[in-house]
Amino acid sequence: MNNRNEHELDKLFRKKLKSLDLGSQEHLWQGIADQISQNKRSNRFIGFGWFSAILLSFTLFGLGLNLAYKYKTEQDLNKGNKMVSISENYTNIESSENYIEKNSVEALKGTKATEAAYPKASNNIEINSNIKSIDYKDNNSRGVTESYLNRGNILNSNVKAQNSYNRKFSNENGKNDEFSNTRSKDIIQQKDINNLAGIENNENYKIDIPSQKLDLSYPEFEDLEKKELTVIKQNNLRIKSNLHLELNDYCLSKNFTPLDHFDIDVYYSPEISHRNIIAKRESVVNYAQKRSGAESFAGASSFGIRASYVTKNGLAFRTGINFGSISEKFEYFDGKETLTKVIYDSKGNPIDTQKTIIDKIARQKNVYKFYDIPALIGYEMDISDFVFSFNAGLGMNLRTKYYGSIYSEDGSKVINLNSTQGENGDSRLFKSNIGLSIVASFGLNYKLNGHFLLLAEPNLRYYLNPITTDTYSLEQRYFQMGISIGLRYRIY
Amino acid sequence: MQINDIIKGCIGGDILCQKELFDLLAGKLMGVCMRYSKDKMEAEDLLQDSFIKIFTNLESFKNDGPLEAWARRIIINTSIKKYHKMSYQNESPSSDLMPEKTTDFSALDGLLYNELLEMVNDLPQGYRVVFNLYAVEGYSHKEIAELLNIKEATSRSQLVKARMVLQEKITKSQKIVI
Repeated sequence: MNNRNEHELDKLFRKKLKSLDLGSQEHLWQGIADQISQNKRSNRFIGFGWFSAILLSFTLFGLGLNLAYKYKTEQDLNKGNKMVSISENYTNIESSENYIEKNSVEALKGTKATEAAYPKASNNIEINSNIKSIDYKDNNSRGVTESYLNRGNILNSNVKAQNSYNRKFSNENGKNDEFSNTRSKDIIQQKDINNLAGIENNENYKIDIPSQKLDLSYPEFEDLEKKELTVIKQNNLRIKSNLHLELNDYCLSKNFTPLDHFDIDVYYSPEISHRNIIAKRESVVNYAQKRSGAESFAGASSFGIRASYVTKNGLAFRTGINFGSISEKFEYFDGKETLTKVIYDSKGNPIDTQKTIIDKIARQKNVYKFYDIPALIGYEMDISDFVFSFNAGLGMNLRTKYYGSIYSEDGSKVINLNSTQGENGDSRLFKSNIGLSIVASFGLNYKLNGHFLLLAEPNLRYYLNPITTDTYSLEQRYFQMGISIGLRYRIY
Repeated sequence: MQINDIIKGCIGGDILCQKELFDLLAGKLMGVCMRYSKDKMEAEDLLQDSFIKIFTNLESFKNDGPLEAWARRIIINTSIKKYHKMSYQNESPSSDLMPEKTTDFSALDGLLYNELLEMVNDLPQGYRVVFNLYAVEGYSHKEIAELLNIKEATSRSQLVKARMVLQEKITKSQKIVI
């Protein structure tokens, strides 16, 4: 501000008006308080919007990744790229029935089984499965894993130890193939695949043709008798007769759609909830606004346990129990209080006190607890190290509980959430069971090993019914979004 | 409660502290609002809007001066924003300004603040803002021109016109008193 010759008129107005104090403006406070509260809610909604956007992006990213992966796979197959990866997630089933009796092996000695020989010859191996995996371990604990796809086509021979192994196969097409492996890693190489007989077209890579019978003959069973034959990783293995195997399981290959299995999930989901309060009649609009202004979101979460049955087609059926909780902060005027302001001098000594009477604002935490049984149908896709899943269904509320208080309808007092009203005084304001909710989730689950997956599942839940009863003048509804983090255990 | 504690509480969203800050500043800030508004209702709206901004932006208060001065600036800025929204193109500077009448202002010390406020309120918005910024707040014409996005000449002419209107009103009020 510049030095200047001050006009007398300016001086007069400055002297009279610059430090003008018009005193208490108490009547304006409530409007400001309401506006602050509204801004808080609007910020919450913005936050909610961002959260939704993040979840949506996450979901779209997963979908895009999935589609891109599928597209690339199709392209590779069309180009004749026969690279097939086999999971390292194999697990040995250490069950006695998974071992073929040495006698049985001996029965194979010197035989040459052919398709024609089946089923008469007991020295055929019948494998009713999309993928077969047999591990031969010799006395020196060296092992070879051989994996098969449908139609009897051998796709891979996977050497698990430093070993050189030669074997001839004949497939159902009568073709013979011979190859050797001298690798030490579970990596399938292009040349191995290309060298294998029976790969005639791309369909051979698809595993959606169940119960394809396979006749395998091992012209060199002399080698086998020296070894302990183990079927690895697969379930439901049954030895029907001498060397008659039936495998009804799948390979945990990163590329292959899993077959039937059971999962158990344990999860925790931090959530954000959006509340909607609607006045049922015009006369309670102010009350609805008062409640909206006084109560604000504080936090939400849920946790639960869930069992899933997943078919070989990837169709998943899930159910369990979910414990949800929403916390809200309730701020209300609770009488008057006197504020004492101590005025200090420059040395910090108190020189004066000022007392102001203001509205006393009390705070309370309101908690809404929901106990639900979700019933979901989903679809799972096994891609590389991840399992993508989409789930949707209904949640059936078992019980809803309330802790805390709200303003009464006339706004004059604070009442408990479990209060009753009505002529007989027996009508509750909030339901103890709020019925059905729509539940949906998208999972991007990471395979930790053959049995455990790390869950990361964005989810949403919308309660179809208000949590308030018909007798209450307001409708109160909730919509929740969150990300379930947890573990999935694949039972088999 | 010390002012720093009140500020901290306000930043943390403590409504009790916000109420206390309101009680501390509302009277003085209402005085500022009244000068920049045409009536009490507009002043109250301005005060409410300004307090929301104060609470929202309190984190940016550097504590390098009195909080009241910082809050005043918020009110002035809010008022200027309103000024920009209004159409005041018709209030163009006049090239043939009338000479100011001479008045003995020392004799006007007895005028009440509400009389002066009323005079300021009656000014056209453009005059009112420029007069307040220049005469009461002490801004220069250059600063006012930048703030209001007008020419310095416009600021000068609006100030002169504002003074003339005010002087006329004062003269009238003196006659009435006499």
